[in-house]
Amino acid sequence: MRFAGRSTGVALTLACLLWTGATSASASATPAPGPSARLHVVFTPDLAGARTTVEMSLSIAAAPGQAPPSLRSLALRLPQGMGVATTTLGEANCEPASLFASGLDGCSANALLGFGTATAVVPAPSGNVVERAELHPLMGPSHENQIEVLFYVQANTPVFAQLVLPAVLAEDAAPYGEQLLTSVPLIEVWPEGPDLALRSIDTTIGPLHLLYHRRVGSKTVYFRPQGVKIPRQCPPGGFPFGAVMSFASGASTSAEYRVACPIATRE
Amino acid sequence: MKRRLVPFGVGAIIAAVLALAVPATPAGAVPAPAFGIAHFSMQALGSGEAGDELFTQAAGHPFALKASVEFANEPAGAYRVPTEEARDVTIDLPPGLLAYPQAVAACRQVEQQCPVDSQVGYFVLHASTLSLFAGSEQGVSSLSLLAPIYNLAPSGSEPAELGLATPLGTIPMQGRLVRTPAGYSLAVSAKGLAQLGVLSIEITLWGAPAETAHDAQRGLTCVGPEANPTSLCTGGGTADGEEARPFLTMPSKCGAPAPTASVWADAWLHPAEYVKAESSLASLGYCDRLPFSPQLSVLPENLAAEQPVGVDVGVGVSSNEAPSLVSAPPLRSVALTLPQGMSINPAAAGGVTACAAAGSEGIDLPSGLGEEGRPLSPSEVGEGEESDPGGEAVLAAGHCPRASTIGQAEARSPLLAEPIAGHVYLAEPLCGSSGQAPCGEGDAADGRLLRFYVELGGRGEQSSHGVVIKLTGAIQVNPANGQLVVVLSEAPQLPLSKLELRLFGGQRALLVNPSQCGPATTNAELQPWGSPYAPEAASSSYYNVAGCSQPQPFQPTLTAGSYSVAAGQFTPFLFDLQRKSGEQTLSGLQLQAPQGLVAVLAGITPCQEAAAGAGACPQSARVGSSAVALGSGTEPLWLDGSVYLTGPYRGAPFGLAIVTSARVGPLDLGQVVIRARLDVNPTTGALTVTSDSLPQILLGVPLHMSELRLDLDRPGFIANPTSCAGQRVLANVSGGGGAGAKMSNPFGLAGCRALGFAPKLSAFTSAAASIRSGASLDLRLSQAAGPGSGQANLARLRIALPRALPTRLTALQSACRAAVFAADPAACPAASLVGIARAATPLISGQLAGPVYLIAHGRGQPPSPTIVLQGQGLRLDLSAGTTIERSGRTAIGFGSLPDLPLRSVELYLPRGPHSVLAPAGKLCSAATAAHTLALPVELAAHNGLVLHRTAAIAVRGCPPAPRHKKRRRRLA
Repeated sequence: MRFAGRSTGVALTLACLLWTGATSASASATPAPGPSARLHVVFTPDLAGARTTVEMSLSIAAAPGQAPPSLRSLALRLPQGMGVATTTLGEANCEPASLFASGLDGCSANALLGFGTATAVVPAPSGNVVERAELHPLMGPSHENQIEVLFYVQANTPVFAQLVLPAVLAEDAAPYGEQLLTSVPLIEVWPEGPDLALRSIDTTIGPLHLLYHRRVGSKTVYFRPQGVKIPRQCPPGGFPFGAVMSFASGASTSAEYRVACPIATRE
Repeated sequence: MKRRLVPFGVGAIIAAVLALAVPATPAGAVPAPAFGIAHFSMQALGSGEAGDELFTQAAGHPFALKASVEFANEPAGAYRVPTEEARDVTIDLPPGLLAYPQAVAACRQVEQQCPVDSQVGYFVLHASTLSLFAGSEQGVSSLSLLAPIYNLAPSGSEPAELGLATPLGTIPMQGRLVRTPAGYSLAVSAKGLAQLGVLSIEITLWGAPAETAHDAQRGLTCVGPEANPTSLCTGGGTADGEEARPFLTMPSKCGAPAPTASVWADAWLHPAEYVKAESSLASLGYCDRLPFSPQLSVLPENLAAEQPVGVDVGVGVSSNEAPSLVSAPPLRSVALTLPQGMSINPAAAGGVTACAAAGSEGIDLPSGLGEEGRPLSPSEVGEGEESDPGGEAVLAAGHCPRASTIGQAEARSPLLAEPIAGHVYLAEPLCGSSGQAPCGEGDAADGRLLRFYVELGGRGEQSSHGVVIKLTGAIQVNPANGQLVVVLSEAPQLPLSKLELRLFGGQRALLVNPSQCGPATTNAELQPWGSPYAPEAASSSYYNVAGCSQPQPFQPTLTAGSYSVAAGQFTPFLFDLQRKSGEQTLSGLQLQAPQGLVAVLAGITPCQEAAAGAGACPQSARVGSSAVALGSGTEPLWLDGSVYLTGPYRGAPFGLAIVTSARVGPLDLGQVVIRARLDVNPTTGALTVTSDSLPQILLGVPLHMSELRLDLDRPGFIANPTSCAGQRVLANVSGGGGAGAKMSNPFGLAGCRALGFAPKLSAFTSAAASIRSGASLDLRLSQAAGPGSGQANLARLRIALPRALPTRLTALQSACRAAVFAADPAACPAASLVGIARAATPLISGQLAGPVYLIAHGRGQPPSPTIVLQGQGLRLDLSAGTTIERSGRTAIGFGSLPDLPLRSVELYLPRGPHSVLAPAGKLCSAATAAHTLALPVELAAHNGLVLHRTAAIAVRGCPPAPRHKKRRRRLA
């Protein structure tokens, strides 16, 4: 079931929410010391007015000599005009319990908004243990007047772990249009043990590699959903993406990235 | 029996008269009345002018003692004749009524006139005779004889002898010590009286013979008719001016009953058929006037603290010798409170036997009573008596075995010229023998456990005086602190100016010096005869104990180890702990055996708690022997015992009961049970033996344990480790003074290289795995193991889980905190219980089984599984460590498994809500064509062998491989 009111393009919002990055080479904004973050965003294809898949990479680095911080909240800021009203992503809804019980098999493939990976770190005196996971944004349960996106993280090595992060969409101040707010729980890996710390996230939002299905009569028809539409009007400096993060230590940081205006726009 | 003829003027006349004497019983008369004593009286007389005032001062010296015996008689005309001729006459003086032959010169001039200063009294004899005088009827007349009594030098073994100087010769009266029902007393006997028709005899002994008041009768001999006995006298004399010394002393017992004297007599016609008569003297009084100032001396053989010591204990009672004064009353009882800390030496019991009360090895205490409880006549031989050549019962020496001698004794008495020597014997206890209850603390406190006999006189060198005195003493022991009180009670009413008991010294002396230096004071409470009217007295004596070290050292030594050095083999195990004399006592012990030294409990039925506490464990529970050395000094007493395995004790799964029978020589102190808990370290499997407080005192006898040896020698019980790494046997020993000593003994083995190591590992999982329920894993390890198997035990096991079976984060998050687990595994959250395990070991009869917990060890270390194996009270915690390999595999390593023989171990981690494993994808897809997942394994043995293998986890439930179908078609 599609969410009725996702006029502004949930998928794009999600994409921005998750690991938006600026096209600028250096996006770090918060002065040291403390954690820092880098955001990188790519449109595929990168054509003005085209349906695209947004590829985002967010990496969080600890201050020198410190353990990676544990992320507690994340606000992803999206450019104006990059709503998802024109997308057909997220035709189905997914329940967290289904994800916990069966993983991705617990939800319809039509709920997928993209795919990706995440890397987490478990600080340990003997050396950080790196946990690599698959990350899947999915359309969450339907709520009245609110879009909920579920980020489902499943790690297999070396520890099998499941994480479902709900996120909600809200209006944002210019030059951004909307922001996606996510609370991240502290994940104590074991009693009296360290907290899990996200180190990087790479994900896509868009039709790339997605294949939805639909029953037409007695047949199953597979199709690709429509992705985020790139506005024909490009703001000066490119499309702005931002990420604001707070950590369990009380520190906070942010990162920005501007995706350069597509060539077609400049033409 | 000697007769001394007295060439005396009047004697010649009397001799002529008595030579014509005939039996008093007329021939042809009707049957005569039976022989008997018509009258007997004895009284002490004072020195009043009339000379007949009764003397009642206890312990005083009377003016005279007068005894009169009249035999049964019958009329013969105007006179009387005895019914039968008296033969032997014995007078038992009341106990305490004493005659001192040493106070008067002794007559040694055989067959000559005795000196005047040897006269101690006179006698008057009345007899019926043929008539030579006018006025006689039927040829019968009467004759009276008054003659001196002399103090004779003893001619035989008797201590004293008096002589009745008749014109025909001296009638000896032997004085000796006898045991009457009333106690030891003096008796005088005249035997084989001439058949003179004696009607009566009156004896008067002077209290102080040298007093001039007796001059009227001194040296005087008279003869005449009964009506006028002094009608014809000769002799006479005066005192020679010697200082008058008391010859007689009255008993010192005041009040009722009055002193009683007895006379025994038999007749020539009926020898040994004694008749008896008694006479009570006037009751005595004025006991409060009696001087009693005894003095105590206690001289130790050495002054060294806590060393065996011989002790000379002497009690002296000085006496007055002035006739006008009263004598000191004899000592009746004494209670010696020995110095605080002076104690019984357990080593003294080694090689010592006890003297019985009676029998061939008994002291044979006389009682003066026959079997029926009646007084014994002079010819009846009772307990502790023997018959002298004359057929008279005399005190006999006892028959205490030489091995029961614990000391020497000596007594001095003004009665005797020479001291009386004797022995001190250990007496049989009044408890613990067959038919008696075991000795208890009450017995120790009441003196029924430790008793002794003192025999003065007796055999050998001690027999020269003809005096045998047997005393019974007791040593009362405070069960709590060992305080000793030596009690000697009911000493005879004989004046002992000095009584000395010399308890043997040496390493096996009866006593041990206090362990604390400084004054060691003995206090004596002395009670005289005459108490409670006579005052009691106290005296003390002390000496200084030396040679202490402050603080008291404590440096015990340890010897421990296996008899065999062969790794993995059965062996007896020895533990020996010693301490030197003078050091603090051993009060507690904890022994930690080397890791891998195992006890095979299978097949042993532990001793039940009740039996263990009572020291009555069955032989089937015996696992070893024990020996303890008790006593100070270099020759302790060794007591052997047994070591028994017991059930749970004080929280430990097992215990030991070290049972030692404290029956040493004649003393049965019961069972000494040392309990100990036997713990098995759940992590290392090491055995730890922790004793209860070691016994310090048993029935008041400080044990002074100097060595404790345990020999766990039950075949097939103890086995060596399979590791040859150098270890140590550890011991923590606590001293009685609060000190502690940590000791260790090297422990090394050989032959580890000869041990094999061939474990087999198999693993299974189920294809029916899911994200919701996780995945299962079943690991099974088996090997030949056990003492004598020739195989080394598993030391390390490391497995790297396949990437297809990762650990679940939820399981890690539910791990049990280590502190919670350590306190009580049952308090761990249910989700931390991730599996079960079983193990088989030859050490116990059943299996070990238990849960597998995931334990969180804090921030720096990932949770790891811990297997809690339990069985037969044992618990083993096999803890693993978890590491993340670079390959992403989770490796679980049991890095320090105890050196225990585990023949099989099965670890089952099931699927379910708390499954610790998850399937990373489809297991069947991840598995090889043989449906197996690779499981790299490293196994290491305690002997150092290491095996690297890649085992296969068989995935059960996978669909058949396609090529399998093709093969079947081909076969078809």
